[in-house]
Amino acid sequence: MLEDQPIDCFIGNNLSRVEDDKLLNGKGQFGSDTPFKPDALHAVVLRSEHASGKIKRIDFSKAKKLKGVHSVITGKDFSKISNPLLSVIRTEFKTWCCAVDEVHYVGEPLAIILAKSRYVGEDALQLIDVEYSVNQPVISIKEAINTKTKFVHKKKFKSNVVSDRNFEYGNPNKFFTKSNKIVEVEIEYPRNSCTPLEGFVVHSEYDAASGVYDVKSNFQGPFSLHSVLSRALKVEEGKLRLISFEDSGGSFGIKQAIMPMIILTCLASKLSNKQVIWVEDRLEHLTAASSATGRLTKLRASINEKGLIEALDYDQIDDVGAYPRAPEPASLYRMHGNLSGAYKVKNIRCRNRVVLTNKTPSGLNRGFGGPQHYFALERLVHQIAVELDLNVLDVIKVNLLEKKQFPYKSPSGALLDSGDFQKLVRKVVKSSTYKNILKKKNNAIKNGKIYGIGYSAIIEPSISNMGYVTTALPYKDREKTGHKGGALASTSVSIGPTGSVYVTCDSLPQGQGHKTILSQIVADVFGIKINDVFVNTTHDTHKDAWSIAAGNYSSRFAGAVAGSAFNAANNLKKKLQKIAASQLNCKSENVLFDKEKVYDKKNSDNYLNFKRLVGIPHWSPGNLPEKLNPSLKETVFWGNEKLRPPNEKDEINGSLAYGFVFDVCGIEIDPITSKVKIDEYVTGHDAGKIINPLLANGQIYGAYAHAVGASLLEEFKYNDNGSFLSGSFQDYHLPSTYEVNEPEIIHIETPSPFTPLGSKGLGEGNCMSTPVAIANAFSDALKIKNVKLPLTNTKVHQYLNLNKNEKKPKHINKNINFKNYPINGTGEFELNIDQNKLWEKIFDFKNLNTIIPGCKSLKEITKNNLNGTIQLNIGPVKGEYSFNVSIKKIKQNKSFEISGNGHGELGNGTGIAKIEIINKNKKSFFAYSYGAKVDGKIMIVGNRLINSSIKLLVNQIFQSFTLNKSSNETFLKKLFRLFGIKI
Amino acid sequence: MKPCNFTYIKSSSINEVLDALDIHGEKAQILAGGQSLISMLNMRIVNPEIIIDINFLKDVISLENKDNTIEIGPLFRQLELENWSDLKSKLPLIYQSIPYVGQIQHRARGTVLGSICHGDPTSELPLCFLALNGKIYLKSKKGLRSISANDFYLGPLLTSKNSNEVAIKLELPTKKEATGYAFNEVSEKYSDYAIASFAVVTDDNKIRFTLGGIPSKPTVIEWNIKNFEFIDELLNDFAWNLDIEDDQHASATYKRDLIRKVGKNTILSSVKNI
Repeated sequence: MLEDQPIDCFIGNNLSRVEDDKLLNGKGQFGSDTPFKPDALHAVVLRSEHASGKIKRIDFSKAKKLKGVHSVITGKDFSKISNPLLSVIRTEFKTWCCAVDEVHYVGEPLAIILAKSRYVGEDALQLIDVEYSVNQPVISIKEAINTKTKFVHKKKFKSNVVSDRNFEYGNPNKFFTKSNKIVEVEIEYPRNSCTPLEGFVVHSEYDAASGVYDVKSNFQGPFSLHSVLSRALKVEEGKLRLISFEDSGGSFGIKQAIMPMIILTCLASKLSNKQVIWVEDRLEHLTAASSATGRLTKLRASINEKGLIEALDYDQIDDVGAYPRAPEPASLYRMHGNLSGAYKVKNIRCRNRVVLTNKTPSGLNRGFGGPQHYFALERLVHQIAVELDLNVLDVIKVNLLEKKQFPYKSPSGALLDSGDFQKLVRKVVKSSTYKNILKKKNNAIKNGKIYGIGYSAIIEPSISNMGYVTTALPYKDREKTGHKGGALASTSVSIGPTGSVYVTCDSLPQGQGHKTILSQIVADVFGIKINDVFVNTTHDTHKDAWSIAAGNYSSRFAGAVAGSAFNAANNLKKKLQKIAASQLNCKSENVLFDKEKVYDKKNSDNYLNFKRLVGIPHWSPGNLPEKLNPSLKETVFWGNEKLRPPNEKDEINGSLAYGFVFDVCGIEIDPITSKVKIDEYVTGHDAGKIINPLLANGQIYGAYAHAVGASLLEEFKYNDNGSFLSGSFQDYHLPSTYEVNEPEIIHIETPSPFTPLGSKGLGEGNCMSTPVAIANAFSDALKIKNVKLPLTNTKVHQYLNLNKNEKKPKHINKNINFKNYPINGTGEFELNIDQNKLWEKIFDFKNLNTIIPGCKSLKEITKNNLNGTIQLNIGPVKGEYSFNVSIKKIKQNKSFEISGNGHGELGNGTGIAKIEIINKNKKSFFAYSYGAKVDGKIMIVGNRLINSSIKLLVNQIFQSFTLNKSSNETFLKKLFRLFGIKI
Repeated sequence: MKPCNFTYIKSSSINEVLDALDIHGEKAQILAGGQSLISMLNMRIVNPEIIIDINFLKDVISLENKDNTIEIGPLFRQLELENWSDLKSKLPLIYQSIPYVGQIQHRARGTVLGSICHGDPTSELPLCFLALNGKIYLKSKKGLRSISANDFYLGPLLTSKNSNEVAIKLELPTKKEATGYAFNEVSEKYSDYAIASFAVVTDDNKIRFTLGGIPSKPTVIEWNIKNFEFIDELLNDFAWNLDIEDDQHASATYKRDLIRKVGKNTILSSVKNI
């Protein structure tokens, strides 16, 4: 521990980040700044436009002929030289990184184009023609569970549920009887992500001579996935060398999901015999990188009259997308040990199901499993207070664990290391922010404003047990595959001949400030200056120490990795003390290190300079006392025996350290705009020993901002047809400084007895505590039970019940046909030409192309079945589409129906329209109604303008039928000219 | 993503622009501030064969303060307008709306005319242009014509500007006596695309009410000031007549509610501002 530290040490102080000077001056070396070979090939990914379907045909012929294109590699090609991805859950279908004959989500890779530059590759992409037979996708969790016909993996697997486990701890059945008071909540947590600035980057190169794949990437671990990667590549461990880039533009977990692209680029390099470079863009990232899981939870509590929870009953269903890709279903199991949260409850029942949907596979994301878990538990606690008419704060206090109970073993197996929950609650309640919140709510009620207060109290786990995910498997299966548990962290510290200290570690920083923290710790141990410590955080599996737990996730840095650095430095220090003792003629335990000097505690005049001391083993290794080994390099693998595999009772200590977060917020809702404003927020944290408060608060601000986004704005949306609607920041809304208020941060420090420095993780807590605190405040403000995030304006408008009682003027009478299409509309024109003539004109297919704006060619293939090409422009967005339509249900001079589909570079669509000639008030009208569905890039990034554009285009086409050539409608003329038509 | 191959023409005079437009027409795209175009190019949503960069034009005006009008040239940046000291007194509507135009970084590059010609139905400047019924001057090899804002917008990203024309000047009427101006906007987050935006000009004769964000183009309606007492009903009728549909960010009922409530508040502010 820390008792030997010099008085004016760096640990615990606000040291500014040593990383920033370089980054702020634009000198960072990110993935895309990293050089590659001049003859390297650039990979471009052909991705599925549909959520579900069979690949009928892919025509690469034009793409392959393009100058600069090296080759095109398909899913089938890849599957011949690789294994499918190994997953924790055994499935009957294979998890390929590149679709082989079916697609299962929008954005799923279908092929890789290798070209001399990204530009050429993108050109080639536009020349590829894919034909699908599209299936109805499975989108919602409820649908995935209940359907009898729609399955994500059709061929072999007749269910979307890939894992279903029941757990029981204590005696929950005793409490869920009729005589007990039961409170229940049902929650739906949306899919979202933390969207780092930098996307995925990978440089893969296969060396045929050695058989080694050299991969530089921003993969962040966990390195348990190294064996998943090497197995997929069909090579032994050492033949996959993973190297990190110098700097990282953030991850928040999501860069774990670069895994499939590491495999595909490696295989592409082997096939092409060239280095292969891939840089993900934003469109790809939002569509197909990864996502946090969506979750549906029914949670019931049996409670006594004081609101004390006697038993909990969870029914949780996690949406992992189209494949249960490793490390899933970890989202569902990371919190399994602490199902009881910060509370005393002893009896728990839990059913966990993992379902597949036609969405991007889920993966690591800040908070990983915590936001979903606590959203249910803390909504429940709020609801208990509501139903018993108690104060929420009192209900929380009644249930919170007491200080004397630590270390506390939870019913499902977590060993909560330390804490003083009441102390933190007291401190938060005393804060000025809390007092303001109470005052403002009182005033708001007086002034008729809508204001609510929300609380949350959560356990923030850190330093994951690598075995927790195996809780998803029955004990018998775990027996077979071997029990897994534990988590090692490693750091190497070495000292050069004139006193420079070098540090490397097995965590791959994503911007958190590892260099600063490690410098602080090591400088303190040796009593030297920060500038004398050189931390190199790049990692190379061929050169640096690592184990399966290596990587940057589960808030393991401060507790585990920084702790291992502390231990490594101290081991070296002990050796140096012995050497110094022989020089200073004193006892080695009396040798102290401070201010770059090493001296005898009993006589501070008796000293050596640190530089001088560390030179001895380098310059005269033969003259060391006690025949000491002269090595000044120390590598420590640190772990803790408290992390055991899940036992036969399915108890699992999922993490080593457990922090505590207690939040209160006040929100105000504007009844005019239906906007939620976070008015005041106070967040209390106990993360054990804080190494650097400045960086700690930076983590809290960051997690808070992510959580505000998740609460109010962010969601990956799909419509019922599986079209992805959030492919750019136009539609996936991130909060900015205008939306994120500054929370008041309160700390207490209850050191962890299990980590070397007493530190716990704190980078994820607010991602877990804040969404539910805001939802609770919202529930309090409107007195409603079901709150679904994100609380966007339009959703709030519904919750405010403002969508009811709208006064519809009498003349508005809109009938929508084709309601099953996401885009639909109607239109009507007065006919100014004779009905017979109109009919002739429409069914004169030879000349129709001259009438329809933008139509370049039109052919009748069989009777009333046409195909052709059309140029459709929306301002500068110009595209040519080929289409097939058939005309049916023809009633001469009265009505007909057209249906068909089209596709082009920007996307594809299907549609249907019904046309009628109606007579009213002695006038004839051309009336139409239509339904359409659009997919592809234009939908992913341009959907905000799609409806109105389609309306305009359909309008133009139909109006063109009815237009009398002599008519002098300037507006129409203008429009036609814009669409390239001369009239 | 990376843009398609295109030929880049850097023009230093309006005549060079006109020559290029005359030859390439539909295939060409004018690059001004690039705040919409560049991202569309990068996503390959827009794939022009020719880019005509007008950022180096020498023979254009910036901002000219005429008797009853303000004239703005094609390279005048939104931030320059925002920083113009007379903005509040001369163009109070623009003064209120310009902080909503993207974020300050966008406004530093984005041009006033560029935004107006791009014609995004959610943009603030096209809406103000319509509310003030300004004029835009379009030049081609055939000559110069002006068109009023009432006739300029045709649909989403569609305007009356022909592909052989370049906008060389915008003319906006300055603040009139006994006239009130008000702007308001609702979006999911600050600087985001408007769900609904409102620009209202009211004088002792009429209420000129313009709406952006919801319809497929900036849309105007005028009411006689005598009907002020029926404003709730007028707004409701107007909202329903727009044939509004649900989209992923806002339901039709929410959008109609904004027209009724925020629309009314904006009208009231304009009256207060008289």
